[in-house]
Amino acid sequence: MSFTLLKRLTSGPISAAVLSVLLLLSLYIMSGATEDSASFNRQYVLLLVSILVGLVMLIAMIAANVIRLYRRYKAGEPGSLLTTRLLVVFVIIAVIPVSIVYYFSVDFLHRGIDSWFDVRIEKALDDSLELSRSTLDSRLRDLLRSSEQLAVEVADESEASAILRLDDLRVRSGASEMTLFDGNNIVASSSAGDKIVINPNRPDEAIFSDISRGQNYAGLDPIAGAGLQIRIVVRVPLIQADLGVRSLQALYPVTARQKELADSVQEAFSTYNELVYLRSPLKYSFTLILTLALLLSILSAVWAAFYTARKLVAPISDLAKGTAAVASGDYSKRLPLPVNDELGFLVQSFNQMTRRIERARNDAELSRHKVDEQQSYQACVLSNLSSGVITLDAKQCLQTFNEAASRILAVDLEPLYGKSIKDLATLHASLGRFVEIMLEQLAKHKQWREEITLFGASGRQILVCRGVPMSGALEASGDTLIVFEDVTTLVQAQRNAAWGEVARRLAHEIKNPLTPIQLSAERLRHKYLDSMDKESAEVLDKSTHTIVQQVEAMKEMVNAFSEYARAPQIKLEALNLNVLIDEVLDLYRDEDSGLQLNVSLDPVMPHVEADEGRLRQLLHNLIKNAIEAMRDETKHPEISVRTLCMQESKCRYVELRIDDNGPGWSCEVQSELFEPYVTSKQGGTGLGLAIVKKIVEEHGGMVVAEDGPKGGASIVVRLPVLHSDANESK
Amino acid sequence: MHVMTSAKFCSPRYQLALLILWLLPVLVQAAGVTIEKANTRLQDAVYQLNANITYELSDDVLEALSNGITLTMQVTIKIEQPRIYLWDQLIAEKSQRYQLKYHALSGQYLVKSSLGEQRSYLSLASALRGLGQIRSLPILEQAHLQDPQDAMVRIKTELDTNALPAPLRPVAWLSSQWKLSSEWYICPLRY
Repeated sequence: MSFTLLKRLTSGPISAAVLSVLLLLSLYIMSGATEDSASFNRQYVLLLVSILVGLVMLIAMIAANVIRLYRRYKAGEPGSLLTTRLLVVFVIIAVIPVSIVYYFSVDFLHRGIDSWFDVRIEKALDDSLELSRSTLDSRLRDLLRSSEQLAVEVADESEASAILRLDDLRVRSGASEMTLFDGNNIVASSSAGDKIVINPNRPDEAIFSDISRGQNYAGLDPIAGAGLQIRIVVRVPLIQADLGVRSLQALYPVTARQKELADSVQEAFSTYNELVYLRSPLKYSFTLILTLALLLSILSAVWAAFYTARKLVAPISDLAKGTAAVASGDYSKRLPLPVNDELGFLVQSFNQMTRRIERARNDAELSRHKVDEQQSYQACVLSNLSSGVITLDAKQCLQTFNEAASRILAVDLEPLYGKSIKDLATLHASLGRFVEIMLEQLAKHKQWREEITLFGASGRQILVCRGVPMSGALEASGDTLIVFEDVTTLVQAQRNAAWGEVARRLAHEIKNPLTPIQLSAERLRHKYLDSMDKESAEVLDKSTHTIVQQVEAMKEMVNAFSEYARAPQIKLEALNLNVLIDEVLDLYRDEDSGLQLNVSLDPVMPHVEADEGRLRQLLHNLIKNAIEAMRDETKHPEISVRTLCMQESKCRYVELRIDDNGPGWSCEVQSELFEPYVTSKQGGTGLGLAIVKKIVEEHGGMVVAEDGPKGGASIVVRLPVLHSDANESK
Repeated sequence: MHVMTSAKFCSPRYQLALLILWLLPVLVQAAGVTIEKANTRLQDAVYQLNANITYELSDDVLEALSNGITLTMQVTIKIEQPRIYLWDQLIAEKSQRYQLKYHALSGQYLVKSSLGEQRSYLSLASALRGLGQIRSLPILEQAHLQDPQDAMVRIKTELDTNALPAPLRPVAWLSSQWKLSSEWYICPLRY
């Protein structure tokens, strides 16, 4: 605490004020010394001490400042070097003129004091003193002579009678006081006009010695209260030996004019002499005071230099610190505003700058955040699109892609990021066509649309591709946006719908003439068979039989057609799939075909929501299909039917799997197995599996054809479980 | 701590100490003035002081005197009652000043006391002698003293440099030539 107080004391403006007062005091001393006033006489010591104290304080303050500055310099604080420079400049600016002024002041002072004195004045004063003395000398001599005569007159007077004689003599001679001293130099009697003299003025003892040696005395004597007087002491002639050597003293006044002049001369001479004598002490004194004032001025200036330099440098070092903070990325730094000058303006500008930078940075941060948000939003939208989206730059390198793109192309596009699209064709031969068409279209730099059919691992795939060169801000970049969609399923559905329509119409158109044909053939046979000869009858019988048979077959075919095309209202009800399977399989167990049925039904089988008739047809179709497939080529036909209650994600499914050990699916048909008129069997309508698929889809399930575990074909049907049952099992 | 230091510089105690430090040579070099003898006597119920003081002026002081500078001698008289356990009790203090100056016109040395009494002397030696003879100086009325048995008189005389002209004063402070001061002379208060 004391340290901070000292710091404040040594650096605060209060100290400066104190010092100014001290300086003023020293100036006061200066003026006091020249006037030599009484007040100055009294305060001389105090002022001198206070100046010395001020000096010591100043030196201490400056020392503290120097130490502080040195520490700051050592610590490498910003601004310390500048402070030192400013300080040196200030000190030089202050010290040099002050020193010059001091030198000339001292010089002028000495010369000024010397100029007070002049040998001629001195001589004149000496002469005037001499003149005064010589003027009075003749009177002294006269008075001495007359006093010697008066002494003769009192010689015969006794001490007792002398008083009357003295009065008489005093009045006669015009003396102001007349005293008779006895042989022991003791006042015998005295006369001083009308006053009674108790203690008459005694001459110096030395005069009595001179008298005893026979020398009379005449001289001037300044008497207290009476001013300058003439003192005459003469020896009284010795008449009676027992009286000893007596002496008579007479004091004569000088004339008023003479007294005045003599006093004036004495005063002037004394004052001048004193001044001459005091010349060197006066110089010494003035020089001392001037030196003290100089020291005070210089030390104050040095201290003020410290103060000013610090004040000046403070905003600069603040700025340096602030700039360093900004350089290190701290824009929140605000500097204290100094006085309203150019530096203040600079600091203000700095604060404004950092504020703006901070705001700009915040804005940039905000917009970056927004962009990030938008990007993630777009990425989210892109990833949730069912269409595949990719963007290519001008060099046909992959820039963007979404999950759907990878899924549709069945390729992980991640490693291809930033690489040419041609690499896609190189790495995945099946996508060669896709890349080829894309490159062709890209070369045209136009919007394009193309339907591309690919043959990949998952079979035939129809993609609808659309390419758009980037517009707007990205136009110059030459980027292209390509959107593609897997329309295989859609095309399939359209084809199915078309086939259904064809079948329905065809059935209708064909079915109409069939009955008349059949009836006509039967009528022909019935009418002419009996009336014909055996040979003709045989031909007719055979022909009509063939017609009827073929018509029947045709009817069957047409019925199947219409069955495929027909879409009667489905009647969903809860049913146990295991029971239904058992019932259907019973029909096939009786056959002597050597067919082996392996049935494995899941005992925990929830109900499914299905149309019983449709499911029955489905089962017949599948089993018939399997039997037909194995009929010719398999010695020990074997069909295994399995049901399985399984869960995939949240939904529960029952899976029906029918495997055979037949020849399996041929490669050509595998991709179009479930399409109408696709069959590998001779005499097959190609509608069996198409109907199966239709039924499964009507039930919200799915059907997949796979290669069986024993080399044959395998059909997997999954049907959703009845909703209430699904909940129960949970 | 620092504050105390600066405060110390300003405190009157320190100024006094500084002053004493300056005046120390004055006390040490007291060869110029000696109180040879002093005594008191009771007359008309007033204690009167008689003292013989020898003044020996240094060259600088003599030069100043001959150049018209007035010298002021201050005689300080203290009457004290000694006490066994405590410091002496001050009963009275009196200060008598004598001015010595040269009158050029008459060639005489004038001695003037603070009582207004003035005498002139033909020579400096007789003037100094006259200055050194203190006769029947009243110092205390008997009524002011209850127990005159043990009372002591302390006398000291010195050249008052503060009475010198201002320009001479710094010189007087710094030069030992101007340090004219006697030791304390102690005599019993007699009657």
